[in-house]
Amino acid sequence: MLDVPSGIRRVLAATVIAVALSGCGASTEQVALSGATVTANTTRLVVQTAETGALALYRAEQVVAVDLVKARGGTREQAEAAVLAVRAKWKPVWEAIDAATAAHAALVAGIGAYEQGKQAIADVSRVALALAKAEQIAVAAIEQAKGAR
Amino acid sequence: MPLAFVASLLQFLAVEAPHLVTEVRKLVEAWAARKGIPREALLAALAPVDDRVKAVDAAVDQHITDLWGDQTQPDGTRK
Repeated sequence: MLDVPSGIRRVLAATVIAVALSGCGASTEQVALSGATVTANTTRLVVQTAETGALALYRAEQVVAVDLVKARGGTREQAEAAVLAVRAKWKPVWEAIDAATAAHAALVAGIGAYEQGKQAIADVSRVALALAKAEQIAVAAIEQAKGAR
Repeated sequence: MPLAFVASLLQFLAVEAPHLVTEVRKLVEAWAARKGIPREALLAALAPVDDRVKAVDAAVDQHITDLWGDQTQPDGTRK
């Protein structure tokens, strides 16, 4: 559903440019800052979109599991056990999404700190790269959970 | 085009038409890069996903109760 490689390439390119230009003048720093800002926004959109889709799947899998137990004449306890198995499978997804959310917050904070002169642009770029990695892990976790159905 | 609208659109597509998300995402990224979204337009941080997961779990628990009935006795134990 999500084109992870292109997202990573985009962020890597922005980061490489940002780091390469980090020792240069204000205008080149502005280019790097713009790249970090675009990364923050687009990656957040990706994570938000992935989360929405994951939650829809998470709910559907549980409902299907419950309905299957009911159709087979199973007990409530069996339905609850089936639901618990689905919840356990998706737990790493929510942890990965929380990590990506935290990475996004760190980048927004880093951009703010740069603008206040409290952080170098190279550090901001490194945080942007960390966000890209967190996004990749979150999307991979979702794909793994989907594949384990 | 407000960024919040774009976010809402992607959320809608993720549920209703996930096969369109990849292409729409490319459009959004190109748009964001072209616009050079300013600092003040940075999207607010996402809230932790935990509350939304709990909401789904509660809905599923209710579904179970709807199918099997509430078997909780007055003392809190299950029949």
